[in-house]
Amino acid sequence: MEYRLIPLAATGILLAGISVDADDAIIQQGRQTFSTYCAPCHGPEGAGLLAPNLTDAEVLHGESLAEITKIIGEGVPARSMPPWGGVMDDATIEATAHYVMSIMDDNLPSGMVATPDTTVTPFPFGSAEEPYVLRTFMPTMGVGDEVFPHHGNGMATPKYDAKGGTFNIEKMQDPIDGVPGGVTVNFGEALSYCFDTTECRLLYTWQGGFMDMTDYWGAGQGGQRKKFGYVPTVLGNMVWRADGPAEFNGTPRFRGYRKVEGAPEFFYEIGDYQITLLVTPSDEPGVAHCYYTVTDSSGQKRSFSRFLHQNIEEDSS
Amino acid sequence: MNRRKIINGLLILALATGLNAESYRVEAINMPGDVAPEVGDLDFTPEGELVVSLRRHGILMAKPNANPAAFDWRVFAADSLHNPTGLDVVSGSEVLVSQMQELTRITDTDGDGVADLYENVADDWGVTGNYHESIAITRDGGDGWYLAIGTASHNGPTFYHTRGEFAPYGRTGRNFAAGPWKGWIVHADAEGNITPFAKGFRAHNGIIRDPQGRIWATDNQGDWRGTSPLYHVEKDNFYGHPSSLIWDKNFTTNVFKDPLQLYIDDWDAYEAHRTPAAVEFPHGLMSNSPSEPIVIPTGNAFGPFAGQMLVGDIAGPRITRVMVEEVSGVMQGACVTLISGDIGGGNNRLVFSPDDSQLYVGQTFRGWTRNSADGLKRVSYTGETPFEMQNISITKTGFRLTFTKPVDESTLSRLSHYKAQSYWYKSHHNYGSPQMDVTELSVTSAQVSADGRTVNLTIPGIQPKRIVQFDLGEGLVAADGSTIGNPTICYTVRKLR
Repeated sequence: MEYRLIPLAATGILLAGISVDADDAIIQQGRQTFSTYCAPCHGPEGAGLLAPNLTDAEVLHGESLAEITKIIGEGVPARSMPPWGGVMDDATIEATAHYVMSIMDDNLPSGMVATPDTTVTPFPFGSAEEPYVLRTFMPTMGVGDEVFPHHGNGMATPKYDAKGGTFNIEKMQDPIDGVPGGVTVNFGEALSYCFDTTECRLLYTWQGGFMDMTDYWGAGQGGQRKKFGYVPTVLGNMVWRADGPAEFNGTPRFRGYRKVEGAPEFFYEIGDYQITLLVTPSDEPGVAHCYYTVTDSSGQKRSFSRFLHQNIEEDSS
Repeated sequence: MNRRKIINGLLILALATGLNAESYRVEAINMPGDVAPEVGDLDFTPEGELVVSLRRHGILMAKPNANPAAFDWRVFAADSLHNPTGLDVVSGSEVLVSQMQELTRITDTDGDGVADLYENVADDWGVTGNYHESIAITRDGGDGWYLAIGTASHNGPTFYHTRGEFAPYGRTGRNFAAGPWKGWIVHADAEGNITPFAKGFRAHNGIIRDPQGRIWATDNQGDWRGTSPLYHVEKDNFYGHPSSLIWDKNFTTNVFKDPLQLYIDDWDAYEAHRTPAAVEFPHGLMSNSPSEPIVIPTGNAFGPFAGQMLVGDIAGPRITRVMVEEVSGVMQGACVTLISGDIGGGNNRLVFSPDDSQLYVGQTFRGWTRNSADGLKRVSYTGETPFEMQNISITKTGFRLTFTKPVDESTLSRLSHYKAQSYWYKSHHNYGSPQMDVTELSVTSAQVSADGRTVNLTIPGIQPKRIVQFDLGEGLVAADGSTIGNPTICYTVRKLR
């Protein structure tokens, strides 16, 4: 099954083989990255959309290559600019900074559509101290069909022709990849994970970044929807992915979650078992620490924890 | 002062002397800068805090302030919820919210003002992965709820892995019901048990239970919606969008396995099955995308329309007033614009302030129209009675119109002030409908009441299953000189007296 994970340094590969001089190549590489990550807030030309105009004379956070590189890598949390250091490698950040420098004197008219004091972006993020919880559709990220036994099976159906009001059986429309009932949590760069409320099971973890919600939320404030599908894009490095049948047999029943120092502790039932699950970052980046309690039908309760180490090849992204 | 400024000054003076005094004032309420102000729903706590759920955030609360820029917002639920378009507020520490995938009870258990417990109350319906399956809720009068579960749109996909059963015959069509209870109103009891209540809905983004215990739901123009309706919802009725019937096992077992195709092929059978709207909103004239209805509270705190309903329009800059009456055992009635212009579009949810004098309007528009707004508006009644048609009732010979202010008998009895026409909209698989069989109606007499506020119009030839549109003439002026604010009124005739 196909899944999407934005490649970390792939933008540099996109221009491989194109005959341009080195400086231009770097700037073009930076332009590509800018289009993917920066344009949703700064506008396609960098003239501002939700975040400020980068092409005018007003410089907010520095104008040297070192200053811009630092801002891209570390973000501006107070203004909800994400730290891209966990998503892009150093060379990609520097190329992006070169591109930003190349447009700084363009003096384009401002494209800002939001009130100046808004900090909303399609790149939400949390921290270890204040984890961010998001209920939304999620990609499956390659989790196998065997992990979804309690889901229905979407099928291809005749494509609807809006003009004619007819169905075209020669143009079947396939379903797309997605998790309908996910709970997604971000602890900053250290850890993100997706829990599925239908299977009552952790689906996958990743680290480095969180998510690009542009396809669902739109770019900027109150944006129009952009895509046919409303599945966000995961940013960062995949670490762990569920596989095989579930640990407990029985019908899952999601009951909710309570906050434990800001992180959700899920409580649910699978068959006769009552289960709680709290996921937190461990000392090792990307490795989730899962605390379980399991109470059986006799009332006997046991607790255990486990670490979810990397089980995905790094090049799978 | 140059010539242009002089002309502008004269114009302003002329307008000021010619226009009616302002009856309703619209203000924009400032919201925090760190949230996208896409309002999913509104409600008040018993303590008087305004509660706002946001479509890409959580839940905010604020005690209203006379200064619209000075609301002191607090975050009650920091977690971003999935399209939270239905609220039922129990207290400042307990809120129920309908998300796309569940009805959730959100509670602040430790009293720090921020929710820390999110309990799944009910979720026994499908989620297919389509963006359009929003859920509006209303209390059932006890400790349960009615949930209006929208269909999906062909503009979006479904997933390979759906929550709940996937029905291939429910997946076809423009708006579709591939998952359980899409296009239905279901009932959830306090334990979260779901039972079907009524079917045949498309995008019923607004449901209320009125003080008489009646359930009302709006819906949106589109396939099987010639124009946008307001339904009086009664148990087990079919309200006209066939896709939902795929989840009626009695229908698929005993009638046909593919309800949509059946009714595309047999429109007469479809018409015989469906329950029509109590009120239809002519598209482009009254409402293009009606959302949540609300009943105007008793008293005159919000003007002279107590007991009537208001309905927001997401795709138009207006709030529409609705008057209903029971005729020959069915509910039917009329609509007329109340507020337009400054309010902007995107009018998704309405709630009255605890003192009934102010209407808060939650706005969002994503994906529907460009000429709308996100955010929060407040409409206040100034105390200045507007000159409007206050109510309308069908009679054996025509219609009885009552106005908010007295009118001289010679003016109110002048037949040329009443232009009337009738037409209907076809409910079919095609999107929307033109006005069908447009017919001018003659007003043959106008009998005025002693108080000058009511006129009985005799209009021959009124037929059931028609909308009668009145356009009142500019010369219809109240005794105090004020002109009619909204001269176009549309009455949906289901039955004659």
